[in-house]
Parts: sequence; structure tokens; C-alpha cells
Amino acid sequence: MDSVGFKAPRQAAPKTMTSAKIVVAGGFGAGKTTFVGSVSEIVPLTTEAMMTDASTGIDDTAATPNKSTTTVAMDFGRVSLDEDLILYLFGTPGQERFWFMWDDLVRGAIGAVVLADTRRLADSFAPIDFFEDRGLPYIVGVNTFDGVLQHDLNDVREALSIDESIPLVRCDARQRESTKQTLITMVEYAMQQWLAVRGAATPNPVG
Amino acid sequence: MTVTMNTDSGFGSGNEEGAIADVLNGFALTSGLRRRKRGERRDDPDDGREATGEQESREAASSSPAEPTDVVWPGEEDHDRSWTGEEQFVSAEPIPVEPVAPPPAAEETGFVRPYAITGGRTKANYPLELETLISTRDAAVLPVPDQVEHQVIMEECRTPRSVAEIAAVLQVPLGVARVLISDAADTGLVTVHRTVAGSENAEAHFMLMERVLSGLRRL
Repeated sequence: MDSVGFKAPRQAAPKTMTSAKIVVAGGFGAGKTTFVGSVSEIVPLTTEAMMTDASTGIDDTAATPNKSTTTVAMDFGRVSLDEDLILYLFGTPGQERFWFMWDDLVRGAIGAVVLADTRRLADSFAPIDFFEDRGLPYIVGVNTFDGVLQHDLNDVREALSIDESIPLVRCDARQRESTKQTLITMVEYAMQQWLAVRGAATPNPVG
Repeated sequence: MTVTMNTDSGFGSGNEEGAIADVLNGFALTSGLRRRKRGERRDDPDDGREATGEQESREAASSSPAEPTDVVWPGEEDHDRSWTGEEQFVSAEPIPVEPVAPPPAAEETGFVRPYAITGGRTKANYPLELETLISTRDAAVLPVPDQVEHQVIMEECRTPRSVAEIAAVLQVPLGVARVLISDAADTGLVTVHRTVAGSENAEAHFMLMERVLSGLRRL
């Protein structure tokens, strides 16, 4: 008996689909998953990569010599923006020793949102360094837990030592509207950066 | 910290050694673990593993309840079989095997090397980014793939799904999912949509940002 197939439903789905990606970074407990979940149409999923995938010889495995396949998980969500356009939000794996994943994350990404917890600002240094090193546009979202902003935004900017031009916004990761605004700010900034770097190649710049 | 990164992450050298044993192991395990589509017909009786009744009963008999690695759920098999007439005589009588508890989540199965289900291969033939979309081919008749993972991929991707989502659904590491998707694309089961990567096409990337921006504003 050969080739008993099933009929694939002829879908009205558009022929070409496009996807985009935004990275959400921040220290442990900064609200990355909450942020992603507040706009995602799916409960944030988790995908894993093994250290052996990429990090052999790069990541320092000396601390866990007997563990050859440490897995690293990252949460992500999905937002359908149009019939043929899906935006994915990827939360970064928290621990710095899993940075090998970040290459996958930033490749082709529109930009990044660094969620800063003002109680642990130092956690934001590493992602900021990384994005600056890679030239990925990023903005900083100061997560206001319980709606209370602990510090003046200018102080936060100074503490983070980031350039004046980099947007620093306050956001409440639990609020869909706040998350949405933060993402809009990020994309606008990424477009400005794009134009600044490549010259006004596009006739009608937005921003 | 100095950031030294492999730009081609996700495709590193994996465990190629001992592949065959692992593969067999992996097949038996995953076919039991991940068989989730009951309605799917298993069509080709000549096709190797556990497709014939005898093999099945042998497998079933050899699997003790304490070893949930080789799960052939007999009830389900019979159910599947009843869809294809040819093999009825083999399984007309239910195979009397005590029900084996389905293995609980992934931790229990950690001893199977993840790349076993890819035959030890770690390379994908397509540029599969995390967000690259995959959709099941819109052909009138598609073959039912032999490998359970491919069946799951086809099922999932009837509406376009990203590589990351497929990895999450299959509960396999990203690198493994990439190889599986690549295979599925090679055999014509799925389409890999083009991904607008950062620097390749400046215009395209900018237009993508514009579209994302207006999409976000509409939310």
C-alpha cells in the first residue's frame, strides 16, 4: 500500500508570512515574563537550547564539569499584528553564563527593551553592554512595581550611564497598555536609529 | 565580562558518537511519548519499526511496566489500526497487555540524548531563526510522515508557527527542532518562510519596522 495521504485543508492563509522579533532583557525578577505575557496572545511558551548546541569552548563549564547538556530556557510570546505579520517577544535567559543564546536572540531583531528594576539596577548593566556591543537598538523600561517609581528617571539614567538619546521610560509590566506603549517607543527609536545610521533612505520616516 | 560569541550558535557539534543505539532508543521512546494524534492513519505496513502487529506485540511483551521507555499503548494502536483495513487480521483481538503508565514529563527521559531523534545530526539546511515561520505545505495530498515529530510539526504548522514555538511544542532543544524542521522541509512537508534578517536587506527591515509599529498602534 502506498501513499495514503490526508487532505490538507486549503487555507485562506496568505502565501507569504512575515515575522519580527523583539528582545526583552533584564535581571532575574525584573518582570520579563510578565511583560511578555501582558501583550502575548498565547501563554508565554518556553523553549530550550542545550549548552552543547553552541557554547562548547565558549561558555565556562568549569563550574559544572559533569553536566554536559545543561539546558537554558527562555520564555517567549506571540502577538499577531496583521494577517500576515506576527511579532514574537523573547525574554532573555537570566543568567549571564547562558549568553550564548543571545546571539540567536539578537540576530535580526528589531531591538530590545531592557527592563530595569531600580532595586537591582546593576542587573541591567550586562544586557546594556551586550546590546551596545552588538549595535542593537534598545530602550530602558523602568518597571514600576505597584505603580511606584522609586527613583527619579534622571538618576536612573545616570546610574546606568546611558546616552541621553536612549529612551528611558517607566512602565508597568502587568499592564497591557503600558507594555504596548513601551514597545511602540522601542520600535520608533529603532527606526530613528536605522535612519540615522543609514541616512534617510526611506521617503517618509516615521517617528 | 568579555563577550565572545559564536555567531552560528545553535548548530554546534553535538553528540555524534553512539548514534545508532541512541536513535533506536529515541525512536522507541518518542514514538510512545509523543504519539498524540489518534486519528492519524499509519499507512505503510512494510515500514520498519512497530508497524506490523507481530513486532508490536513483541515490543509490548518485552516492555515491563517498570520500564516505561518502550511504551506501545495497545489500545491506541488498535484504535489506529482499525482505520486501515488491511491489517485487521493481525490485531482483530486486542493484545492483552497490562496498561503501562505513560511516562511523566521530560525529566524522566533525560537519559536519551536529545540529538538521538535526529540521528545524531546537528545541522539544518535552512536559515532557521527563532522567529522564522513554518507552515504546512498547501498540497492537495501530503504523505503521512513516518516520524512522529514530523507529524506533530505538520499538525502544528497548519497555521504558521515559529521555530521557537515548534521547539516548545515538541519539547526538544532548539538545535534538535531545527534539524527536524529542516528534514520536514526537505521532504516537502512544510514551507520555510523568509525571515527578514537585520542587515541583509535594509529596505525590507525598515519596512518591517514600519509595519510592526502600525500593528502595535492598532492593538
